[in-house]
Amino acid sequence: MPIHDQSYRHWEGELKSHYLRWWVITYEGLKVILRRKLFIILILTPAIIQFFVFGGLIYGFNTFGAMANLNQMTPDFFFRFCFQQTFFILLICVFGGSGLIANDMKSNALQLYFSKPLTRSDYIIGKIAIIMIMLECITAVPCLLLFIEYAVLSQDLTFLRENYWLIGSIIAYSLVLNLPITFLTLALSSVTKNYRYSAIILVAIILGSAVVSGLLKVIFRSSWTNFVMYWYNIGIIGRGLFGMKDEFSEWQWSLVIMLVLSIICFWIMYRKIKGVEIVK
Amino acid sequence: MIPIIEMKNLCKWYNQVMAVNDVTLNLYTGITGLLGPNGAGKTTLIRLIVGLLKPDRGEIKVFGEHIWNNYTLNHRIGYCPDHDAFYEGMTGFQFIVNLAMLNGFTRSEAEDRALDVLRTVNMLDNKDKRIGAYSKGMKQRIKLAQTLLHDPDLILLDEPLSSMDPLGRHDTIELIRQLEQEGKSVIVSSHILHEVEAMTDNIILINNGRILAEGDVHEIRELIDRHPHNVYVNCDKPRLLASILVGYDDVVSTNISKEDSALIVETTKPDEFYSRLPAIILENDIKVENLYSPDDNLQAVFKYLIG
Repeated sequence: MPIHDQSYRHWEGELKSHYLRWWVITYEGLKVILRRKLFIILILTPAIIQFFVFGGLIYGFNTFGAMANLNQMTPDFFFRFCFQQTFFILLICVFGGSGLIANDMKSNALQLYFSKPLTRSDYIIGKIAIIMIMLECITAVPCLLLFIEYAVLSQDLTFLRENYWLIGSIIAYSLVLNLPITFLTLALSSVTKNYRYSAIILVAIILGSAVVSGLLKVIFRSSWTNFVMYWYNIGIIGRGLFGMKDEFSEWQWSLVIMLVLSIICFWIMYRKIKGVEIVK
Repeated sequence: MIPIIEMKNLCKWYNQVMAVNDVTLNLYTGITGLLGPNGAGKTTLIRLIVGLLKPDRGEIKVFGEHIWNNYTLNHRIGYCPDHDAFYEGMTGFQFIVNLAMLNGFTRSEAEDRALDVLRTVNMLDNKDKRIGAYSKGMKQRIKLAQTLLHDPDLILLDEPLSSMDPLGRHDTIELIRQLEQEGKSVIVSSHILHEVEAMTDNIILINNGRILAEGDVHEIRELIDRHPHNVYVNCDKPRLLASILVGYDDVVSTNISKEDSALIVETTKPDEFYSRLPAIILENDIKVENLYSPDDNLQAVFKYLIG
């Protein structure tokens, strides 16, 4: 009978360099989320179905558009696709993002993570990437595919020549749609050990901002109160980026508001994420 | 000899509480026992060494480099926390593999290495069970396994024997000794003197964030032995036993406890006392239910040292 060596064994190999260490956090996080069947069936699948609906519309425009006078595809179409995904963006953040840091804090995992050669920045980048990858997969990626579909189905290069800038708009708008809410989700996740609380607060902030905006509008009777509404800001930035500035000219203000919100959230996150929680 | 850890006027406080108070200390290779009662500052000191906490004052160097914000040093440090830090839904194997990847292993390397360290801590048979289903001792072994993953030079174990059964304690003590023989430096914290004594002679006593004493455990023992020891004897004839014992020079006093009628003997020479006691018991047909010395616990040691 062979007797195996039970004693301590040294590691003789080389360890990888540091620059991709955040990817371990991202990869494992995505694996955990995508293992949840309900999440895929109820949230990701409907979000992707939207892509097929819009893809069908593009096909319809190209095939029957001439008859129905619909063959002029406008930038508004791509904006609408992205903006319609906001519902699923919120769902992904609530059900996929709320626990990302809260669960680590609850299980005391941060002290183990930071006792490894992993920096706070690696950790934060890894967590941001988890949400961003999922969100980009339902916004930028399908929207760019729709753009390509339209370009391919067009009979000449006129569409591409006149609308090539839309590629930049789609990418930029997907970042505007996804980054602030990612920061907000993670900031809320870092202030509580209970992911349910962070999910509830996230929904309250996003939906509550519309309620507060409505109340302020009644009190002050000013259109500036719209800036309190989260999705309003996101909407008019989109219109600005897709060249519909004539309708909403204050999109730069909304951009500043989203930038400030993102910075505050990032600051909260950076302060709260520590190897050891110090109870005051 | 070059110290592996240098602490100079190290301070750490949490609001009004001074967790580590002006600690100046050098630690060298081998096993060092960090001994102190609960709340003494052991865990804070270990977290400062790992770089999880930033010193409020003073400095700390590990392997000659400042540890704070120096994540590359973590390649050489293994840390086993006192509290559980698990995702209970994961299996032990998954948990170890994930942490191995954070150390820079590729997935296949991480899996190989995980099997190695799980074998070392005798958890190979239970590697595929959910961590939530593990006993406390098993969880402790898993924490120990993740500490050894990257073959660190310096290993910090915060209360590694807590919640372990006697066999687990024995295995872990043997492993720690083996790690020392393999050239590792190990710092083990505990609040139980005999646990640390079983691993090393080199101990540091800490209380209220201050270092009270450092050196050979036998010196500490001698220091303790200079002070009278209390020995509790639960027996059926406490008064008879007391009358016999007061005749010896080393016995300072005898008292009978009001609570449980135990005889409390105060002696300046505990070793002589213990060697003589069996004969007295046999000669006088005294039935002893229980015999213990509260001086063996650490709190008593600190009382002596603080005076």
